Amino acid sequence: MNLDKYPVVASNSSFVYEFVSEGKNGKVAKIIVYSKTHIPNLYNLVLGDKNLKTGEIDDAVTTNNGDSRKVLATVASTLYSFTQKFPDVMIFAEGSTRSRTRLYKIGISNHLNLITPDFEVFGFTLKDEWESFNSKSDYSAFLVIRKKK
Amino acid sequence: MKKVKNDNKGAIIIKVDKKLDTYLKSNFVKQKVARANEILRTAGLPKFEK
Repeated sequence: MNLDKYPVVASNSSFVYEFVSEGKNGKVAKIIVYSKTHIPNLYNLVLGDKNLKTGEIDDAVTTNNGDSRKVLATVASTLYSFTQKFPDVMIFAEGSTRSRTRLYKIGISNHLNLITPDFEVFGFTLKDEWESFNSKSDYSAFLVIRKKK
Repeated sequence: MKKVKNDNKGAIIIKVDKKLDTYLKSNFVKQKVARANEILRTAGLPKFEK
């Protein structure tokens, strides 16, 4: 997916990435974390703003920096890098709010033709079931796995 | 291990900072993982392509 994206700083483990969003409200440091779940090879993806006073991540903030496409493309770029390094992993992601989950869904829907050659994408329906991602459905979470080439 | 195609779709990594790994131990991330585990315990996994 060759969309405009921000450069990132990566952690030693490749599980954490930091980048700076630049938009109408200025510069906002953002953190992406891939962390282990209780299921082997299944990682939870978290995206949040870095609180510059505490250094902690905060995903309750609404930045409204006008660059959500570029931010999502940056998250997707780390997904490519992470699954390049760890090809057997699955990634689970849930938005911190319904509107943010909806934003993720729109981002996936808009680029589905670019994503599906590389990833299988599933949505967790409001009936608490997994299904192959469908742009017309509503989801509360997502799960992706890199396809074999 | 699966083989995946190497391309330019990945992140533009300008630097490596070992301090970033401290986020893996943060309470925020632990809470998010606990939430994910809760969903995955009840939902299980989707059926993947073979």
